[in-house]
Amino acid sequence: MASKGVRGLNEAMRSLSLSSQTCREAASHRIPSSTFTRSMATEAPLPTIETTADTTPAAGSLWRPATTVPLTIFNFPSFEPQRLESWSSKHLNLPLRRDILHHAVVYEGDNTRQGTASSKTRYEVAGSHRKMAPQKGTGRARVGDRQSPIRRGGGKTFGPKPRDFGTKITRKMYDLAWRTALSYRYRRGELVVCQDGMELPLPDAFEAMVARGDLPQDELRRSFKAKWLTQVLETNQWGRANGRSTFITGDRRQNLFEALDLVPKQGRALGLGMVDVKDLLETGRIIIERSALKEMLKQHQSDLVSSVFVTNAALPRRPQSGQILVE
Amino acid sequence: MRRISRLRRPSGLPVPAAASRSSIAPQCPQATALFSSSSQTTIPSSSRRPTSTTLRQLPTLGRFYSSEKDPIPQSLSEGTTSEPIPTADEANWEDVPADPSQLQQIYVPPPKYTYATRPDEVSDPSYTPAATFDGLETVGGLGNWWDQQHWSKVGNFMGFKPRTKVTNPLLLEASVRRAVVEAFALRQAGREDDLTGVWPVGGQEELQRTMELDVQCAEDGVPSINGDISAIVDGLQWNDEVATEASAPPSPAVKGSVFSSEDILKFKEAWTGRWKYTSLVDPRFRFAVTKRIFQLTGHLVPDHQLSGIADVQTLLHLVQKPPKPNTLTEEIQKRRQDLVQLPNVSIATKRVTRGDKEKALGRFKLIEEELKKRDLPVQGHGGARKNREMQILQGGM
Repeated sequence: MASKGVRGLNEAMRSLSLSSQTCREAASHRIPSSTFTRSMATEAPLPTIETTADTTPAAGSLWRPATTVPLTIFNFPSFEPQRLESWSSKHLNLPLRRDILHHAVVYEGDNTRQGTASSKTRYEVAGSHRKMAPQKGTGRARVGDRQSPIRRGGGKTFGPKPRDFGTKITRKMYDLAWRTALSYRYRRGELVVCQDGMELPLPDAFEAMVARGDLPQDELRRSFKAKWLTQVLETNQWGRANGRSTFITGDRRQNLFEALDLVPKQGRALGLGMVDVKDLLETGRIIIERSALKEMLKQHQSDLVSSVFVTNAALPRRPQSGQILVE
Repeated sequence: MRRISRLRRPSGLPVPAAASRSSIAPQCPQATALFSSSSQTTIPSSSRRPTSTTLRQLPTLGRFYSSEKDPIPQSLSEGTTSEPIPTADEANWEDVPADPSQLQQIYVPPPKYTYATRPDEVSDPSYTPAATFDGLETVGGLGNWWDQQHWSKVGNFMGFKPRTKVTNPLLLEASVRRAVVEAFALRQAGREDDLTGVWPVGGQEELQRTMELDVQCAEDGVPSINGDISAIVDGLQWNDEVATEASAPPSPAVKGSVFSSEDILKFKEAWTGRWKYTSLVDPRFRFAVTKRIFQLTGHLVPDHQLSGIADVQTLLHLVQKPPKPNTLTEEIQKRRQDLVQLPNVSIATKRVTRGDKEKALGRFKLIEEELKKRDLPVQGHGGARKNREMQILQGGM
């Protein structure tokens, strides 16, 4: 407050001094001859910036984000790093966009809703439409038929009816969300890419026992597979103690899927067609077959790849993924 | 969709034993019997015990993938203790009985079903059906068959990495150094193909060998090793002949204690700091080093951090970084001891509730008594619902 008062006083004094001058002097104050505007603040000399071709940094010294990121391909059950590949940054190193992920998850949720809830209106409730009591003379309230919504057993006025809760999302945005989810997992070290043909191998001793007929009970075979898979997951720190894992393969792998169904607390298995963005964001890590990842990215790059055939070589090419760096 | 060829098996494995060294090898030394290859289809059954030939291969297979009693994780878990701990080799030798006849079946199936005679078909006139459960054979309940003694320890799954992560920083440094030395030695020996393959884990002998060597590094980051690298290169080779030789019990030198932090510290004094400037720009060399570190210590360098690793120092810094604490309590207990020491601050691992305060005052006993007297639940609300009347009065349904 005090400073405001002082400022007001200063302004008043300044205007007083201006008005006390003669008009000619005042005019010279107000309209300087050199420049047509003058600020009250102290003027600092303008910085002399010379933008010439010489001062721009050389093209090599400019920082450019890497266009590819390394990706290790593992052997499936042993978790042995087998080779290093280079994948496009536009596939596996996109910045995190929570809003886009949210849109995609909500879109999926909307479209997953069954929307079959249904109740009967007064016109659908079965029964006679006879007037329940005469209009007058009974001493009771006026009543119509027994399907009236205000009566027990009557219809529902604004009840649910089957409908489609599905919403729409731009295809490009959905694809971006898909790759954003994968990128997020990649940067957190939660994307484990395994070699093609990912399947849970069972010990030969067990296979031999089954072939010999030593394990006639299905219960025994199933509990063996469950224990074996649990051991695999615990050894690799993929199991329940480490937040479960989602296994994604191109098609159904009998042993892996069957065993994971037996121990759902350790993880889940999904075929490529069953995967959603939400699935990519759930559980501790994604363990995916290389070919499945490749196919997944191929199906979800509409914002990167033109649907029109273009022959102009100068245009940016589609992102390349899967080149071998080290083998 | 274009079909992608499957990845090839890691190179550097001799062909005849490839199957036994498959990546899913159980930790058992008799892996040959477990995972049959074309040459060896021996399947141990109750009638047929594994022969001594399988036993002869124990040491190699024991060296392939670290066993449950892995030397490095154990010593790491000891931290600074200098107690002698059995090595992997020793542990394996103890696990496996020396006499082949003692070898048990890995997975024991339940006995075959036997069917009793129907009561009306029993010829013995003195037979009377049992009236009580006592003394009868039990049937069924095979759900936890494999959780019992029917699954031998050697039949457990073994992966590429050790079961426990190494966290001792000194041991980590020794392991990183070992990985660099081994990768460089292989390159020197011209075995470029083996660089990306699987190498035997080895024991204390191998670790000591790499710790004794003097590693220097030129200005351009190329390392140079003063010393004999042939022994190291040999140690990185799968050698079946060695296996048969080693069928004799391992020498006492091998059976010695693992390295404690003090031992490594002694070696470390001799190391010059230059070795940490070894360049890891070459992706092939870097892959070999990081893969070896993963195998020895269980530390996997995340893919997105790979491109940032230019020299060993960066890698070491990354590997030695202590793991993030899971909870705030853990963090305070481990890293902020100064907070714990404060006289006017008390730290609770969980939220301090009303009951906790009463307990601290010693009033809870009285409350408990009174609650019991009135037959009220001591803890919780005893399933009493929320006040529904109030909800309806306020306009809700």
